[in-house]
Parts: sequence; C-alpha cells; structure tokens
Amino acid sequence: MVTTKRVLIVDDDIGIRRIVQLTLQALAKWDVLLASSGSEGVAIAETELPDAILLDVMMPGMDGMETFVKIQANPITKAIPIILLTAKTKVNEQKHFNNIAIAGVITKPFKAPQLVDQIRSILNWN
Amino acid sequence: MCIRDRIWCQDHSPDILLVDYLLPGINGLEFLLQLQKQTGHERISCIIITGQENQELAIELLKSGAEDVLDKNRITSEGLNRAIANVLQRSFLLRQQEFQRQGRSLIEAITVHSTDKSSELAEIFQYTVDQIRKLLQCDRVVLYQFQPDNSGKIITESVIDPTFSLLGKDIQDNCFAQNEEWKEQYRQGKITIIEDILVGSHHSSCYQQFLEQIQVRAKLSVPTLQNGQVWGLIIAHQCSNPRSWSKAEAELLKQIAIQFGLTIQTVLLHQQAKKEREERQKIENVISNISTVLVTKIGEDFLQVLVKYVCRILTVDYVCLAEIISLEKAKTVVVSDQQQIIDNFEINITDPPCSEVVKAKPNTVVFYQNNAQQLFPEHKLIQSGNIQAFLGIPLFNSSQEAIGILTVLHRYPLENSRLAEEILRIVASRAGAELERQQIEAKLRESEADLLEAQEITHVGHWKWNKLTNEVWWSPEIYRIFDVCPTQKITFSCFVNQIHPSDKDRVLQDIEAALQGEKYSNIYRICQSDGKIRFIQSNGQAIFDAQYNVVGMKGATIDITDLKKTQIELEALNVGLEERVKERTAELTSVYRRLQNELEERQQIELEKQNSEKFYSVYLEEELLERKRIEQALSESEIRYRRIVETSSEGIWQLDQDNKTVFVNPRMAEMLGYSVEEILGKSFLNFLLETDKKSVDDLLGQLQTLIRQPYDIQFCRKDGSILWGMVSTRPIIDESGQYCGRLKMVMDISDRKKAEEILKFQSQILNEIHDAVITTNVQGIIQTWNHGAEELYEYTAEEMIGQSVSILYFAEDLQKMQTLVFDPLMKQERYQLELRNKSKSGREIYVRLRLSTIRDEEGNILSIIGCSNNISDRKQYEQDLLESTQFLETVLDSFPLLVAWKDLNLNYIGCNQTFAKACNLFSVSAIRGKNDENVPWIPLEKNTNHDRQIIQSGKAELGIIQQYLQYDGSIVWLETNKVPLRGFDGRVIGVLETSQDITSRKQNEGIVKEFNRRWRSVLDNIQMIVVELDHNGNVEYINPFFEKISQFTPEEVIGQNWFSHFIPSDLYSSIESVFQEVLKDNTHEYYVNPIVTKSGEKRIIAWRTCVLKDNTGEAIGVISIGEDITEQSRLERMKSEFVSIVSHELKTPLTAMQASLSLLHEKIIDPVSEEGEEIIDIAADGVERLVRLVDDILDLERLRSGKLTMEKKHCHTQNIIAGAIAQTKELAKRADTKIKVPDQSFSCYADCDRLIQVLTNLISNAIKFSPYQSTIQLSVENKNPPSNQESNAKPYLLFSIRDQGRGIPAQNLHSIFERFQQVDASDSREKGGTGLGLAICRDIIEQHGGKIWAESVLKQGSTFFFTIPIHSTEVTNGDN
Repeated sequence: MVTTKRVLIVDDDIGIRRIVQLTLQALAKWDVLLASSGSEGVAIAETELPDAILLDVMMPGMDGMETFVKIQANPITKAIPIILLTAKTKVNEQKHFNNIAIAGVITKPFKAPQLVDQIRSILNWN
Repeated sequence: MCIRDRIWCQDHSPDILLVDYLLPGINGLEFLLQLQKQTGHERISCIIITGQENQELAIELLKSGAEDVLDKNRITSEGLNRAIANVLQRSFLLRQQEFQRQGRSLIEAITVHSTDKSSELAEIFQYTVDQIRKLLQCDRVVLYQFQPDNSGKIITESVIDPTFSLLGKDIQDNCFAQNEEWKEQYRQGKITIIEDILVGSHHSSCYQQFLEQIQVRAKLSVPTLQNGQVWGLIIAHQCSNPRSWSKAEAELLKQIAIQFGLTIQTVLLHQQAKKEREERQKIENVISNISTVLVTKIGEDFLQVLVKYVCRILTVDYVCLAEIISLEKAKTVVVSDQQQIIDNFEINITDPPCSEVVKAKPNTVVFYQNNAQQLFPEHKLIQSGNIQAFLGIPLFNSSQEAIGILTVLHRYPLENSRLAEEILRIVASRAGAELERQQIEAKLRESEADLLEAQEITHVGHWKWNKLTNEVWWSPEIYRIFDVCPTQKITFSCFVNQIHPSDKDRVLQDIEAALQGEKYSNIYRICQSDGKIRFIQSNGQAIFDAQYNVVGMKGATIDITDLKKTQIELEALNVGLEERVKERTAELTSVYRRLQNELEERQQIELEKQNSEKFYSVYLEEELLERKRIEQALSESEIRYRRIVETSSEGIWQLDQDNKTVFVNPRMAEMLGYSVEEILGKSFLNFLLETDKKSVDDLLGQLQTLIRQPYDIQFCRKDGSILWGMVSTRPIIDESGQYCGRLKMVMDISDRKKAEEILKFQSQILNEIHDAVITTNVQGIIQTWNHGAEELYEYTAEEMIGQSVSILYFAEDLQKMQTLVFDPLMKQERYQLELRNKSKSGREIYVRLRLSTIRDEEGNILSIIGCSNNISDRKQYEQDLLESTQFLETVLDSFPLLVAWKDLNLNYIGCNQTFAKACNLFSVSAIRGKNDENVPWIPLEKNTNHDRQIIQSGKAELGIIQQYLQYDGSIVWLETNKVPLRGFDGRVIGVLETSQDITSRKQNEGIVKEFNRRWRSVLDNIQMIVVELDHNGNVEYINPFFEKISQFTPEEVIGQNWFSHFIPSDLYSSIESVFQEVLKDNTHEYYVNPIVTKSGEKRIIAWRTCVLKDNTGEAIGVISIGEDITEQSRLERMKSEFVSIVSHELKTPLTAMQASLSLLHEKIIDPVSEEGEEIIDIAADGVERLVRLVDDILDLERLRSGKLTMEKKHCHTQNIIAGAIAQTKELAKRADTKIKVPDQSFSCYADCDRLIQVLTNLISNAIKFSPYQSTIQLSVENKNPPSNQESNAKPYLLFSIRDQGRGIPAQNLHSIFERFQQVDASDSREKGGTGLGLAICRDIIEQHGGKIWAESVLKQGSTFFFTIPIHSTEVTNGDN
C-alpha cells in the first residue's frame, strides 16, 4: 500500500496556507498539515512527524530560522526535511541558507502547479 | 603682327603698346610673349584691347605681362587716356626705380673700389666714367681735374663714339672767370645743368662757343671735393642732341661725385700708406744691411764702408763724415763719391749749412732739398760742385757732445726726403759711436804711452797674470828688473823660477792668499840670470770675471834692492849698537859693583890709613881722580839708564840668582799696584796668579841662561785684580860669564787678553749659533764660514773659504744675486732679504739673509757680513698655508652660506665671495675694516649684540634667527651661527659667523604653520573621529570629536592599546589582525567596525585608514578617520529590514494571487467550485492588500519627501470625526465596538482629509486591538496655553483616542510610529494592517506642526494623542 505523503505547511499568511494546501491536495494528493506560526509548527512537527515541512522564513514571533533550529535540535524531528519558503530571491540574500541543513528553498511568489514538482525534485519524491 | 613689327618695337622702344587681342595669325598675348622673349624684358608697357568679355582671359593677359586690358565695347577716350597715363606712370616709376637701383650699385661699386687696396686711381676713374655714361645713357662723360693754377684738364673720359673723345686735347676755357667765386660755388656743391646750349640765356655766348667747340649740346656737371677742397668735376655731355636732365639723374650724379671724392681720398690714403710702408721697409732693410755690412768692420774701414753705403742707398753724389776738432775746425775723416773715397776734401764748419749742422740737436737733420746753390752762394763746395741738395746731421758721443757731422751733397734735388732723413739718423748713431770709439782708442793709446814712460822713469813695472792660460804679461820695466829679454814670453812658472828659493814658499803662499781675495803685498828676492839677487816689492790683487771667479792677478812691482841694502846696513848698525849698549850696560853694572866694593874697602882702608895719610895721599889722590872720572862716567851712564828705565812704558824687573827682586821700575810697580819698595826683595813668583806660578817656576828653574821667548802670564795686583803681562826674559851674565840674575821686560797685555777673550767668546758664539754667518770681500770671496754655515750648506769651512759665494746660488738666480744682494749694500749699511740658496747636495734652501758691511775710515767696504737662517720650513709652511688658504677660500667661496669673520673691535677682517657679493663688493678684501653698519641689511629686532657676548664668554651661539630689512625694502630671514675665533694661545681674537638665508624656509614654516593650524582646526572641528596609532596599536592621538563620541578624555586614551580598550572584545583579535595587515600591506583602506564608548555603548565607525611611514618607508603607525555611522547603520539596517519586510509584504499577497490564479488558470481547481471561490477570494484579498500596501508606501514616501502637501483649510473637528467614523463604521460593527465621540466641535486650520485619514487609522487600530464589544473614546480639547513673554506657545486642539485593548509596552511607545514597527508583526497580517499606518499619521501630524504620541497601560488599554494648531476657536455643540 502506497502511503501518501504528509506535508506540514508553516506560514503566518492564511491565504498562502490555503493555496498551498489546495495545490498539494489537488495535484499530489498529499496530506497537508497547517501551522500559522513557528511555535505551532514545532508542536505539530513533533506530534505528527510529517514527511516534509514547508517553512515560511518571515513570520512574526518565532521566525522561520528559529523554527528550523528548534526542529533540528529535536532528535525526533531532526530528520524531517525542511523546505524554506522565502521572498529573498537574490543570491546574497540566500547565502546564509547554505550553511544550514535545509532540503531546499522555494522562492515566493511561486506558481502553484509547479510547487509539487519543485517539492518532489527537492525531496526526491516520485 | 609679324617679326617686322617686333623688330620695330625692339628698335624704337615705344613707351607703350596698344595691341588688339584678336589679330590674324597671332593674338595679342602671343605677340606680347614673343616680344618679351625677344627683348628680354619681362614687363613691356602694353595695353591689350579686346572685345571679348572674358574675365579669365583678362587675368591671363595681366599675368602674362600686359599692363592693362581694355574692353572694346566699353572703351572711352577718357578711359583710354587714363589707362595709358597709368601705364606710363607705372613705367616711369619702374624706370625710376631701376635707375636708382643702378645708381646705388654704381656707388657701391665705387665704394668697393675704394676699399680695395690694390685699386689704382686711373682704373677707378675709368670705371666710374664708363658706368656713369651707361647709366645716364649719354654721349660722353669726363673727369675734369683742377690744377693748382686753377686751370684744369680732362684726365679720364668715356665716349659712346670715339669722335667725341676729348682726351689728350688741349682745351682752354678762356671764358671761365678768373676770380675764385666759382671755387666757392663748387665747394658748396653747385650743379650745372644745360639742356640745350642753343636755348637759354644763363650762359655767355663765349661759353656757348666753347661748348660747341667741344661738341657739347647738353651738359650736366657736378663738383667732386677732396678734403673739403674742389678736386674737379664729373661732367656728362650729350653731344648731338639737346637733353632734358632729370632731377634723379642730377641727384644721382651728385651722390656719385660725393662717393667718388671719398674714393679718391681713400685710394690716395692707401697709396700713401703703401708708400710709407715701402719706405719703412727700406729703412728696415738699411738697418739690417748696415748691421750685416758693418759687423766686421772697425776703425776707418768701418767709416768708409758706412759712407759708401749711404751714398749707394741714397744714390747721392757725396757723403762726407767729418770730426769736429774745435768749434771752428773739423777734420774730414772720410768722403765718398759714389763708391770711391775722395782724399783732400775740405769741409768748412764755420759757414752754413755745416755750421747749422754742428749746432743742431741730436737726431736733427738739416735738410735743403733742392735749392742749396741759391741759398748758399758763399759756400765754395756747394757752388763748385753744383750741389742742389744738402743734408747734414750731427754726430754725438755718449756724453751728448757733438764730435762730428755727417753730410750728404747731391747735384740734383732729393725727392724722397723722409727716407733720406731716416737713413741719416740711423747711420749717424753708428757713425757717432764709431767716431767716439776711435777717439777713445786714440786717447787710450796716448795714455798707455805715457804710462810706459812714467814707469820707465820711476822703475815701476806692472804685470798681469792670466791664471787660466798661465801667461804673464810684464811691462818693460819688469823685464828690466828680472833681467829678461823683453821678447821672451813669460809664464807663471818662469816667474816662480826666478824667485829666491828661500822666499819662494812665502811668495806662493801670499799669491794663494791673494787669489782668495786678500791683498797681495810682498817683498822678496829674485835671482837674476847673472846670479845677482835683487829685492823687489810687489803689490797686486786678484782679477775676477763676471761670475766672481778668479781669473788671474795684476799688480805693480818695484825694485827695492837699493832700499833694502840701506835697510840691512841700518839694521846691522842698530844691532851693533844694541850689542854695544848691552855690553856697555853689563860693563857699567859690574864696574858699579866693583866700585862700590872698592869704595867700602877704601873706606876701611882710609880709616886704617888715616894715621898714615901722607903715605897714601898721593896714591889716593890719583886713585880718587880715577875714581871720580869713572864715577862721573858711570853716573852719567846710570842717569841715562835710569831715565830709560824709569820712563819706559814697559815694566822692567830685575831678579837675582834667587829670583828675588833687586829692581823694578816705577812702571812695573804701577802695573801691579804696589810700590817699588813693596816689591823689592820679593820673589817674582809672589806676584803671579797661583795657577801660573808653577809653570813659571818650572821655567825659572830651567836653563836659566837661555833667552826665553816671550810668554804670557797673569799677575795678581795688589787689589786682587788680574794683570796679563807678556814677559820677555834675558839672563844677566857678569864679566866672568856667571849667571847673576834675570832682567824681565813686562808688557801689559790685559787689554789684548780681554780683546782675545772677547774675540774667543764671540768666535764661540759664532760657532755655536745656528745661523750661518759668512763674511766675504767685496768681490764675494768667502773669508769666514762658521759652524752654522757648515750645517746649513753642508760645506766645511776649508771647502768654502776662498771660494766665491756664488756657489751657494742656483744658476738661474745668479743674475739676481748682484742686484739683490750686493748692489743695495753700496747704498746702505744693512739690508735683509729672503732668497733661495743651494746646499752642497743641491738641495734648495730658503734663507733670510741679513747683510751688513765693515768699512774703513773712508767708507770703503772691507768685508760683507751675511747672516742666514734657514726659513725653508717657514717657506713650506707659508706655501702650505697659502694652499690651505686658497683651499679654504675655494671652499668658503663655494658655500652658499654667508661667511665672514670679525676682529675684537667687531670690524670685518674677511669674508667669502657669497658674503662679498651680498654686500655688493667687488672683492672679498673690500670687506676689511667694515662693520655691521656697512652691510646692506638692518636687523628688524633689537640687536642683542651677540658678538660682544661671544667675545666675552668665549662660547658659540648657534641658530640665531633674525629678520633683516634690506636696502631694497625686502625682508630677509637669516639663521646665523657665531663662534669665537681663537689664536694659537687659545685667546679669543674675533668672531666667525655663518649665515644662511632661511627666508624661504620661514615662508614655508609659515605655510606649514598655517597648514598645521588649518589641519588642526580641521581635526578639532571635523565631525569625524581621527585616531592615530603607533605600530603597536597604541593611541598617539585622538581628536575632540572622538572624545565627544566616546566620552573618554585624552588622558584616558593616549598611550592605551586601541584594540584592547576600545574595540569590543569579541572583535579584538580580528580587528587587530586587520590592523597588522594594514601596516604590512596597506590593505583595508576602508572597513567598518564598532568601538566601545566609555558608557559601554557600541558605535559603528566606518574607517578610512592611511599608513604612516618614516623617511625610510617603514610603517610607523596608522592614522584613521572614522565616520560614526551608528545611526546610519541603524537606518541602513532599518531600511534593509524595511525593504525586506516590504518585499515580503508585497510578495506575500502576490504569492497568494499568483498561486490562486495559476490553480484556476491551469484548471486544477474549478473556479465555480467552492474551492474555486475560496481561491478567488484569496486572490482578491491579496489584491486588496497589495493595493493598500502600495498606497500606504506611496503615501508615506510622498509625505517624507514633501511631495504630498497639506491642503489646509478651516475644518471643524466634528466633521473630521464624522468622516473617520464613517470609514470605520463597518469595522466597528464587525467588532461590535462602540465609539464615543465628543460633543464639542472646534475649528482648526488643517488638511481635513488627512486628519480624517489619521483619525481613521487610529480608530481602526483601536478597534483592531480592542477586545470584542469594547468601547473607544474619542475626545477633542481646545488647548490654549497662557501666553507670556517667555513662551511662544500657540493654541492647539488635542485629539485623543482611548481604547480598551491589550496595551503597548512602554519600550514600544515610540517605535510604533516607525515604519513597519508593530508591537507584534503578526498583527499586520491578522488585522489587515501594513505596519505603516502610524508612521503615516505621524508624518501628517508633524506636517501640520503638531505632535502624536501614545500612552498605554498593559492589559488596560492605550490612548493615542495628537495635536493640531488652531487659528481661531469656534465652539459649537454637536452630537455624534
């Protein structure tokens, strides 16, 4: 039995959460978990252990980098691949991502139909 | 047009050609060109007439040489006339120009001829007339020269046709005025112009006929002057036709005449100079020839050759040389008739012209060139010989006495008088000298004859010995004395052989001494050939050559044989007499004793025989008579003896056998200071000095009977003084031959001894002193040579005595020796000089020679004393000193510094060239004697008189800097070093000062100072940090701004390590390593790092660093200028964050929009489905957010940049509130929030819409951040602060919006009004805010001149306030 993927989306913007959810569900039939803040995202990651996490960088309160550190620091959630969602498109803006163990970066804005392919490509999912 | 036409033109030379251009066969241009070619004239006065209106053709015609081109169609008579006139005028001017050019050329050519020394006048004349004729193009040009009698003749001509020639023809102008008026007119430059002799009345018919006679139709003449006098005329003739002479021609001829006159003068001068040169050459040849010809001639032969030579050179008939015997009589010495000597030629010096010659002064020539016969009708010789010319010159001897005359007589006038005079003068001096020589020779011969005669009479002969050839010359008397044949040649050996053997050595010694310079005076015997002995006395002296070498002797000799005989006899007589006296004395002495004894005996006998008187009376009487007689004789003898003894100037001392004194004469007693009685009976030895007693004692004991040679002995006077005496001793022998005592003669030689002692002492001194003391005789033969001389010159006394002092001189100095050394002594007693001598080894010695003389009573020099001391060292020192001085002067002069030195009186005694030049002196020596008042600069500051202080203290003063005012008004700075000058003894003798012009340095210092001041001002005032660190990172300098920023004081910073004290500890090492890299590689010119202030605050500083290096290029530290970019960084950071946030905020809704639309577009989601509608809402919402965000950002930007202006007008607060309520009604409704509004309404002056915007934002925030169903309170208050003089507060409205929300932390109360600064950023998403609202509100309120702020209590709520200024209050009641 093929288990469908479960992806956690952590983004403070409700619209983006909903769009991404609809996109992943419609195109990839993945299960989508939603978190509206970094702290919520950490909690859900610990409890749900998703297959991947789409993490917005700029969030109020615990921003994406703090959330990432917390998830990485937790041995339970450490192995979950994390894809950052960021509006920083320039190389020098993304350079600090190079030193952390993220799976990949998807820049905003993105086209929803290509989102699934990008995730698959980054995570090497079929 | 054809060749004929061209030939016609060529022959007739028309003034102008008018040529039609278009002609059959050849056009006008071609014709013109061919004519030009044929005539060779480039320009031909030609006017081309053409009917073609072709400008190009016209240009070509003009270029080809046509003077003008006329259009046939437009030609008029006036135009044609004008064109012709122009062409003619132009041609005339050209001709004029050409004429003048040719004239100038001719004048130049004449001038060139004048400078050509080889030019002859005739050539110049001919050339001139030829050229004038060509120039004027006339028929004839002549040169007419005036003669002294005012007549004239043509001397040169140039004619176009030989038939016009006047040369050689006798032309007499009888019409010419005989008075001198014409001369003056010509001298004034009168020009004569006759254009036609047949026309005009300004000349006489006579003159006209004259001119016709010489074929003159027209004439132009100008005078030529030479040396201001009229020389002649230059005349141009036109023979066949009349002619109009132009002004230019007359003027040109006048110029030529002037130059011609100068040329004549110049050429004549050249010729004269040439003639004089030839004459001078002749004279020089004469002098040379005379020397050559006469060099071997002497005597009459000489004079004969001389007169013959003069005859030949002057080519005259007679030359006569006569000797003046007396004023009235002259003896003809020699006369030459050409090359023959004439005898019996009598000359009369009492009549002129010879008398004139006799009376003339030296070198004066009496000269009658050509009229001697007329002038001297009485002179027989002149008349008989038909003599025309006479020259005569007196002959003088060296005493300027006239001793003869030299005369020249010639039958024809003498042309070249000057040459003759010169030759006579030259010859006269030689002739006079020769004549004088002959006269002197004659006198010498006469004297010689007289001398010989005198010698013969007096039997004195003289002799001469040539040491070099060994030959001896004797006068006849000596031959007679020596009894030698007069014809025999005598040598020195012959002479010596005739000297008596006993006297030979002595004579030779004396001769040797004489050769050394001593006087020779000797009496010796010679042996004649017959064996007879003759006594001769010979006196003489050495003969020296020019180099003071002895070359022989000369002297006189007299036969003194007879005299000697007489002397010998006399001596013999004297000896005999002395013997007899001695014998007689001894005899008398013994007789005296005997008589005394006898007397005693007789007395006894007498007593005994008194009784028998009678017996003995007869015997006694006879005995008494005998005794009386003997006694008488004895008494007389004794008296004489006593007289001799007592009056003798010598001491006489008689001793007995026991050496006891039996007699001393008074003189002896006087010499010893004793009385006679005190001496009698005492031993001779008692009166001697102790040291001499023994020797005398020995003498006394030895061979008493011998007569001793005199000896010197010291006596001891009574007073203890010493008496030197020369003692001669003779034994006294009685009749029996027994020794009975001694007789001593004592001569007082104390003075002599003293003198000897002195001499000895002086001699010792002489030998001990280091100076060389040399004495010579007048001829320079060395007589004494002391030890000092031996040391100095390395010659021994034996080597030098008798030698010439010239040995001590180098060959090249010998000449000077006489003039410098000996000659001055003739005039003065003492003299000293410095000169160079030569030692035996050839070494050069410089000596200071002090000379003095020893003279006899008549003042004749007997000896010359020279004292020399070696100054070679001093000379060397002087040379070294001179070189050092020159070197020092060179060094000093090459100094760019002013160097000068002063004496103790502060007067300058020397300086270098730089100083002298600065003082405008021509030489360094000119500074001597000047002082500071004479230098061209005055100190501006009060002079502290450094010089005096230096002299007194003896210490140098360096680096004295003073300003000076120069005479030209400029200021100069001088830095002077003054040091004391010291003498050898260390005493200060002056001041040496060296000065350097530091004006430019001072100026630079001023500039540097100003620069430093400005730099310091910059550093102190710049609003940037300036820090200087050493290579270790320690602080060396901070500027005031750093102090302000960091709150550290300089004392707390300077010297501290920058990195450890002022850099955050976590960055210490990295910043420090950057510093090292900067020091090493000068990298990191710009970098940014934080510093820590005293309060611990971190300030971000942007540094620009520069490495400081020393002279060798080594880094010694850094200086950094830092800009406090803390605020800037914060703002940058904020900006970066803002951009980041804005970017995020913009991209977020864009992401929602793009994703939504892509889902719909790709039909992944059905748009009409529920999800589709949701997606569309998300997209729409995103759009709204985006629009709001963009609007807010733009609003904010417009507000910040001032682009958004407030449209202020009177508003009512009621309306503003109502507008805001309307906009927030829906939101309030959703949140079920009540909004309470104020009742009062106020008026304000503001942009109502913007206030609504502010209030809307604040109300929206209050609603958003209040809980559900809360209440928001709005209020407006009219605030009217009390106005007073101290505050300018204006009335304002205070708006307040109070909510019941969660409150705002105190630390955020200010920052919430910044862009994107929210208490919680999530609020912007949830609440729909952009984060810019409050920032926009602040800007709007601040642009109204109001303030906005917030007050809050957490969990209770916040109140936002803002104020708006009002202009008036209008209070109304209003409801919400």
